[in-house]
Amino acid sequence: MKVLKTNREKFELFLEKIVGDGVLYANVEDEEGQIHFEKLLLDQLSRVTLGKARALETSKAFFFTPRTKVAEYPSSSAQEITATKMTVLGLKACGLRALQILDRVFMDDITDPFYQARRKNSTIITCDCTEPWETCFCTEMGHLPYPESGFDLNISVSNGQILVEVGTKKGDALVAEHSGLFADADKTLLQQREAKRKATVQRVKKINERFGISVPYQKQVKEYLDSPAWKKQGLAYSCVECGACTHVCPTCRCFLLFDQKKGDHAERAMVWDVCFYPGYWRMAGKLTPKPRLLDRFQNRFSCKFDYFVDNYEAIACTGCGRCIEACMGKIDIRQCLSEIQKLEKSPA
Amino acid sequence: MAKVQNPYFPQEAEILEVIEETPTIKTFVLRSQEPIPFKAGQFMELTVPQLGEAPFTPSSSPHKPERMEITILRTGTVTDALHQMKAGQLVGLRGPFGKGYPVQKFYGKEVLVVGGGVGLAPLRSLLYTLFHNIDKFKRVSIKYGARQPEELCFQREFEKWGKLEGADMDVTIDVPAPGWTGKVGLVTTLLDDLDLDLKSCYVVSCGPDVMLKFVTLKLLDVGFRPEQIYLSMNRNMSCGVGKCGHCVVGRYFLCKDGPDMNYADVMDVPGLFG
Ligand SMILES: Cc1cc2nc3c(=O)[nH]c(=O)nc-3n(C[C@H](O)[C@H](O)[C@H](O)COP(=O)(O)OP(=O)(O)OC[C@H]3O[C@@H](n4cnc5c(N)ncnc54)[C@H](O)[C@@H]3O)c2cc1C
Ligand code: SF4
Ligand code: SF4
Ligand code: FES
Repeated sequence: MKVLKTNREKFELFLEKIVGDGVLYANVEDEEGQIHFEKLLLDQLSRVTLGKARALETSKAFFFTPRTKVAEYPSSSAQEITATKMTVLGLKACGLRALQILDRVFMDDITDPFYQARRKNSTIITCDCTEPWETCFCTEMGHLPYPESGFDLNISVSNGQILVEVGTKKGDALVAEHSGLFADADKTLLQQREAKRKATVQRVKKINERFGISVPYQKQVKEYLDSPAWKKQGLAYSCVECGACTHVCPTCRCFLLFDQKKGDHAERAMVWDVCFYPGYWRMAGKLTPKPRLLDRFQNRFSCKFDYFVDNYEAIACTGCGRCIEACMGKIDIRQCLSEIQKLEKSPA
Repeated sequence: MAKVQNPYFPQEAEILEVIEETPTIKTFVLRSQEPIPFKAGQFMELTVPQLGEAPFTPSSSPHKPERMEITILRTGTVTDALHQMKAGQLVGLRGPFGKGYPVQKFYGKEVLVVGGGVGLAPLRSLLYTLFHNIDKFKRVSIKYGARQPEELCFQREFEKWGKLEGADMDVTIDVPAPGWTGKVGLVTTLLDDLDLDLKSCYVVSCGPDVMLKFVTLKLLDVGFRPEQIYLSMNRNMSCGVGKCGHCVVGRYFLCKDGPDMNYADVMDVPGLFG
């Protein structure tokens, strides 16, 4: 697809137009070098960080919010569903990948109208990842640290120039509307982009050398996740069932419908839920199919690396590393996968 | 603008009548604003206003959608509240969800229906469906068990069912009870000397997890293949539409791919029966 170039000054003018026409969430950097998503106003656009790595905040929260009011009842008919026009700038390839996975969940044969409305009213401007974190492992999930399709626009920074790749008709219309701000990108810039991308891939691979893991994972997860040898590793035992890993995970999609009294009527909310919680599974008479922590711990792996592959043709892990950062039990998903893959090579 | 379907919104329904089946089981007869067409085995999410919802499979005939009956065992928050409710009060309904029983697959075959306790409720909807076209099936054989005589659901209909041309019914209670002259023993004991053509028979079973487990083992023991066995499974459920994750049994979503599952599809799932 078409690649354009612009500079920082013009790009901020472009963002001004966007802010004038909806809400803008973009990456900013804090004093410690951590990347965050913030809602930015017209006079804050100089704070936008392009590139670097994925933000601390989970990308799903824009579309699958921690709490969504989904119904008010009693009422003769369902309420109208609306969503604010929104631009999300700064998702990396892993964030975009996560969205594509959630799209399959929430917009398959039965559509979640709340998710759909937010998705329809949003523009996705991704950025190449340039400085991966020590917890990043997208390459080991079979992905690249830059997006190739699925974005409306994608940004790469090269020698002070900003490259804007157009990915969809929506993105094309957006740049066409402000064509004075963009020019065609020349070959040298594209070559520089290519070189930078290659370097980032190498960087991510280097970070993860010590784990020696690689796609696919389904077969080994099926075969060895339940094996005594894997359990003996004791990797799950430091888990305190806090649910941090699933909350920060951009592909974990579990939720609960929760009813509450509101004056003389009732409100139903969809709230994030966690498969590590015993209550998640509990049925009448306190029966449960997953009585032990280990059962629930395994579910997270089976769900991501086995069931999702069968049901949605995708591994539900993008390698973003957020769960590794978030875990107070210091559980590293890469270590878990590594032990599982080692078992295939030398079953104990 | 086309109206967007909101799968989480509960439609209002009125309780027309409450029938006491056993000391702990009641049938609620419901009328929604529009009749809700459903297939035997499909389930509904029933809302107690301001409190929450829980999944239940209608026990009435799919041929009478304007009068949906749901038979409910009292066992916790939502069901306790339901048991307090009276005719004229309002509840909420979402659904139907799930696939329902593969009834057409049973055409020309013998159908063995095995129920335990309140598990006969979802099966009654199936029985009505089978009876509606009884000529299409070689035979319908019902095996039902409960702990005590007073815990047997729908007793008023047993005689009629047993006498139907092409059907038979066998009932047992777990332990002897005063005044009970029928069979005594777990429902699995009714599966010992089946007078059925095992090669051309399907089994459908619904009941508590432990019962499902022992029924399945017994069926395999007497010579059924996993493919012939359909189990109405139980899991925690929330959304009903394959999104929330709660109801997974291996790779399957009970709410979409079930709730009755072919045993061959799920037999390898760890902790299948809890
Ligand atoms: C497909 C399906 C069909 C069913 N059909 C019937 C039926 O026809 N008759 C009948 O009596 N029972 C049926 N059940 C079981 C019934 O759903 C539970 O008894 C009921 O959910 C208990 O809710 P509670 O609030 O009274 O219990 P509690 O133990 O207090 O439950 C707590 C909460 O867990 C939630 N929950 C979600 N799913 C379940 C679940 N499967 N079991 C328990 N809690 C759950 C409920 O929303 C409830 O608010 C069915 C279950 C399933 C999955
Ligand atoms: S973040 Fe760590 S401790 Fe918390 S639930 Fe996940 S694995 Fe367990
Ligand atoms: S499992 Fe961990 S690394 Fe994978 S997508 Fe979720 S948070 Fe990211
Ligand atoms: S009940 Fe939500 S996925 Fe099945």
